[in-house]
Amino acid sequence: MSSVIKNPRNGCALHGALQTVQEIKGVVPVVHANAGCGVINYLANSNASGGNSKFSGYSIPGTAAQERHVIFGGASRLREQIKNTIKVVSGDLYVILNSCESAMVGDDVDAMTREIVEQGEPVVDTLVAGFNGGTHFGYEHVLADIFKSIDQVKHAEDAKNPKLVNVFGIIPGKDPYWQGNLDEIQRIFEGFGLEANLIFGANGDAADLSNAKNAAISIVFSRWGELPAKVLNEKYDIPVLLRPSLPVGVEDIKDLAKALIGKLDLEEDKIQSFIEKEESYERNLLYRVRDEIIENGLSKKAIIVGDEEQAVRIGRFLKNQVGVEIVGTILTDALKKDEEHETDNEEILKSFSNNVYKSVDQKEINDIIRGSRPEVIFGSSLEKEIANKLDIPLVETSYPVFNKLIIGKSNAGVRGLVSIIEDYFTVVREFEYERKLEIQKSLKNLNKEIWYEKGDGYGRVKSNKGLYIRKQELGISNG
Amino acid sequence: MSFLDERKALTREKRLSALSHFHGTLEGLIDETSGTEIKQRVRTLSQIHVDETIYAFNVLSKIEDAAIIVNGSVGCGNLGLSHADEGFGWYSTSLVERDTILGGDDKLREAVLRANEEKHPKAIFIIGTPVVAINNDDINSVILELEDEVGVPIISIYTDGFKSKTPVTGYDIVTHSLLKYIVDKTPEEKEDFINVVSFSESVEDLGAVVESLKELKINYHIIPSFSSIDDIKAASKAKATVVLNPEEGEYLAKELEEVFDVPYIASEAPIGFRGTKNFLLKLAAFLGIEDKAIEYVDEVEAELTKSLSKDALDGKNIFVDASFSKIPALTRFLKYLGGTVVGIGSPFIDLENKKQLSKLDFLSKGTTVVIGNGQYFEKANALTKTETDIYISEFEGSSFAADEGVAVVATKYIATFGFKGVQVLHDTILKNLRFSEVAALNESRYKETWKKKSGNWYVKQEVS
Repeated sequence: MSSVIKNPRNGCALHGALQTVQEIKGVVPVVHANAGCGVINYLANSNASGGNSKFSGYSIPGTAAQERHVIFGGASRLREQIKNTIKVVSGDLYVILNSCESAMVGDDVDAMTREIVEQGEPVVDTLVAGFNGGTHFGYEHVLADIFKSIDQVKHAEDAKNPKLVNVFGIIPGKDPYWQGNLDEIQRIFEGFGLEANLIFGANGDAADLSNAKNAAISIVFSRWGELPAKVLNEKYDIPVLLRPSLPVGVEDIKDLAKALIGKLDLEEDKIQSFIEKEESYERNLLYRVRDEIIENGLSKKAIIVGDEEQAVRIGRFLKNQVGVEIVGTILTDALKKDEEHETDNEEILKSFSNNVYKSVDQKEINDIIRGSRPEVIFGSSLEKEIANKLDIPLVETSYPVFNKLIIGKSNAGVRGLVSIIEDYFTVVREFEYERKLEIQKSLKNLNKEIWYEKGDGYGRVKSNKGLYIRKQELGISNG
Repeated sequence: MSFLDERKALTREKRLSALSHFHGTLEGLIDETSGTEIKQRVRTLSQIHVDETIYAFNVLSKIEDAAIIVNGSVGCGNLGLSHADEGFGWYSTSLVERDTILGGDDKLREAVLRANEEKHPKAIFIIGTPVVAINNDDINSVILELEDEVGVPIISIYTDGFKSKTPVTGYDIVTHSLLKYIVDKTPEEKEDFINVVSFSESVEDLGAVVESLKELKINYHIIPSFSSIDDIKAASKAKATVVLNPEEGEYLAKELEEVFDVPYIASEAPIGFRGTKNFLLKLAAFLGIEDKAIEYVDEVEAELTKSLSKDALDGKNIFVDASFSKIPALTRFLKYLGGTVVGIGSPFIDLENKKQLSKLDFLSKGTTVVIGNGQYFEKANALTKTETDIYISEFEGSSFAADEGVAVVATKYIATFGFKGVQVLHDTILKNLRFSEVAALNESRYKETWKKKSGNWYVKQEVS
């Protein structure tokens, strides 16, 4: 694989850390980098709209390091920035993020953090630099670093909650449907009689970070959640449950429940009745769309492009419940042989996908898609071009999704199963409608007059004599 | 004096004494900028903002037959996503830790060859980023080695993200490279078109300006945004050059005049009645089609004034945040609609901006001025102090002002240029005000104690 990337869809570690902490209510990121590093993340995400949190974009405090800080070091600038940020910006926790620049210069960020923490201020830092890895790496490391030191700067009472479940592995923004998916997972855990410690989005906040140590278990829904869960396990002995992906549909929910029984103190009757309700809901909706699936031929040959967790989630559902043949899956996150994570989805991937590839290079991705001869693509908006070239529909399920506002929609759980079907059907129908119009046009014998109605409500006739309004019928001639 | 002999463009600070950090009054700013040099300041608290790398990328991405390589870590290359919905493709050398130690030349070489083979571009631009600047990677040896093989110009854009505080330096760096390596050095004879220099204007803005040019049957090439390498090459053959935003495009226009004898028809930005009228009439006078232009301008103006409500902003205090070149036209228009401008925000001001500064004599000397890229915390302070009712901004993320209890009007996605812009801006103000009436009030991002402090608390003299 080429090391040069065409149209890279993943940002750097700083970007990952930034888009992670900015989605935690009450957390203020402080970026120690040159002015534009953090902004690139904001601009890159601004086409794929999930709205903006309170401290995102130009509201993020940052040192905006200049040449003198590169030459003489930027630590004193950082000290000044942290001190002043705390005075001006309201926050429950301040997280200092490092960059390529400060790592290359060798700024002692840690010392600056310690200094301010000694004054009793809630500040933590992460030392990952942009070039250390990608967005996913940034997510796992910033969370891990926060958990390593949060108890010293923002202590929560030690009170184990046997119902509390930490949720890891869903990267805000990298999963375009992250907010809706967190909502759905919360709903499911509530159905199990548990409480989800979500940390992110509308139903989470900075207090969840401090309180994570009181959870009964950490559930990791993708490999990127392993590291923070591991830190909590080492520090507070919280058990970890690895899952291949977020659940989609009742079968996955049953599996999740099965994995939890024995590990947590659960009321099995309650879970059973919750699952029954979900099952009846799902069965009812899937029953309603059988005609749609059959008549529109939704059991197509598909290719999936996206992060591993999302691919597993969507792929298994499409194959097992819609009869889609997954001719290929292109993973855009876990690219190299991964020895740092335990999650191993190889068998699962093989179980639903004829072939599995790894790439973030757009040319390579396009070549794989072309060679796989799919009838539909489940991918990101970056696959639009190849979809158009191959004249096949594209269902946008992975990052980035352009020109759409996604703020509460889910594609996990039972609610998510419904929205995948809705989106898939809608895209295919719109695509087929266009095709139908083309065919309809081709039916016309061009030597004949063609009648059509324009937006002004007047019928017109197009023929080889030109365009005119039929006088005899309408009594006017200003065509 | 031409700057083309320099190996690379000077930063805006060095060339025109650009100031990006100021918080005070209009009178103070006039005083500050009255000499031949502007004293530099710094902020001891800042918020992240665009830099010259981003600006350079933005304009190069709009040249249709160029290939762009972002030479840096994958995060810098991620910038392309902000244009990817326009079907735009780019490359990242995706440097990792090892490359920051051993250098990324091999990857750059590979990227140039790939870009050439896959895109068949007419020019290849390599955008510099902090990592390669700190590492001092040898870009030029890669260029020298490959230029013959590739057969199209390979141009290094010397951006680094930390040598200038003025993002517009990115446009200057691109301008410098285009003049040095692309523009035809030996134009045979003039052709019947004018250069319209555009850097940051949106398609909507350009559409609004072009509408008038078409009406007057003036042939034009828009450069460098929305252009082709051939359009840029031909810039030296143009009859004249006009610039849409002087603080961005004047450098290109002046160099074209000085080096290639293409007259620069200087004018204020074509915004609002007067701005657009001046712009068109100056151009028409040069082209000898004044009568036609006057007739057109009168006709459009008469039609337009009918549909504007002159009292739309009666009794309202307004803070306007835009590039300084646009401030005179915008503030005049807001006054025309009955508003009182109590505050101005602009990313920077340099010696050339004195032209616009002198046109603000209709504003109170005590008008608050915040010079800075973004720096919304200071603007939140200013909005509170000036008792602003409406915040009008051409930048992203302006909803912060809503948290200060101020109505927000955003002009980012609309046309503000040309006669069309007058109507669009007017309608947008009314639309956004309707939302502000119903928008929920959220807690401010900034502490109350800060808003009671003086706004220039964190702006300090630079000591070197």
